[in-house]
Amino acid sequence: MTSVQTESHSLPVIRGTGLDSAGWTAVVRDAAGLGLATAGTGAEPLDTPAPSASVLVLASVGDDAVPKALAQGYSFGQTAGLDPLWLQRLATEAAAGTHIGWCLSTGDMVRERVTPWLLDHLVATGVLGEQMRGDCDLLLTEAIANASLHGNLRIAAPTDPFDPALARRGVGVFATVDDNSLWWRVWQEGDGSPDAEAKLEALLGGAMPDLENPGGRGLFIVSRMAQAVRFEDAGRCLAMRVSRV
Amino acid sequence: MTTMITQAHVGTDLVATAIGSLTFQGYGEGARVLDELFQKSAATPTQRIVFELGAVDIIDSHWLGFLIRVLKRAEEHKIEVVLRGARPGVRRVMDLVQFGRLFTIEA
Repeated sequence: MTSVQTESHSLPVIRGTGLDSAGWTAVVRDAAGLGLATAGTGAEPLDTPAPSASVLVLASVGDDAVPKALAQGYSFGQTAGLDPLWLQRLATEAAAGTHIGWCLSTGDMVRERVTPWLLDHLVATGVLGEQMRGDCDLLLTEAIANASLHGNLRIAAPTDPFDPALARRGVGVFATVDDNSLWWRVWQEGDGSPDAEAKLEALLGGAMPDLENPGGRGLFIVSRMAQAVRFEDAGRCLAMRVSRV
Repeated sequence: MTTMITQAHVGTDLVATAIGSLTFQGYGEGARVLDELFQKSAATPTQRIVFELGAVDIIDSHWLGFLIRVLKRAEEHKIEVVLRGARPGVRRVMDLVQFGRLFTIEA
């Protein structure tokens, strides 16, 4: 198992890859509004390791951009059209030395399974044992569904209609690593849910879902599969700890 | 998207074979499958609906809920629902949510 060093950085620099001039201009504007520095042209090649504490803005998740960004150690996101808070969050997490930081729009998260990219990278780099891949996949999938559907889109089921404007809300996935464990944090842009927090508390106290009810199993699965789980930031972030091996 | 479910009768079994990832991103397939299953079971004598799960790498809570929906409709038609061939990771989740109390589970 690879030893992971967690460093604290400062002054994250925002870079971009694959962005056109208009896209990069928007990133520079948002970064300036947040007091963050930018570097490059927005079309950086992904063939060299990320300079320390860099955030990368992707034009798209195609063309192997995600595996390359992960391999080069960037915190990254496809932030075009998202609230600048996501650029801020990526920068904050990069400065704190978070091992992986990634944000996408809710619309992308409900179309694309993103977890295999993350888990392939963590397993390939020895951060996560192969035997933990399945558990992490399910935990992340449930957390992303919770953030995307219930938090951001305010719907109960994936096939429910939703306000298209809410699909531009972001979802962030962050991984913090120490010697033995890995904390996943999945952020939503919604208002959080006191009901979900109370439900999680009950589940951790031993409550079981209604066996014959089609719904209500997501948090139950999380509560039983994670070593530790809690909501943070008034329910906007679901934090889950797993063993690395 | 990596969810695919095909259906075919084998005797009085209606066999639904799922391939790939049964996660919320592919849940739209579930709505289609639910209707098709019961159209086919109404058209051809059916004693059991058998979900072949051997090629499924992950099942999330939304698809677990889908199976409950199938079960409830099947009960109305006196049809048994069988979950067959789940890989260890999928079987572990099914055991976690106590599906053995609701479904017939076959190795």
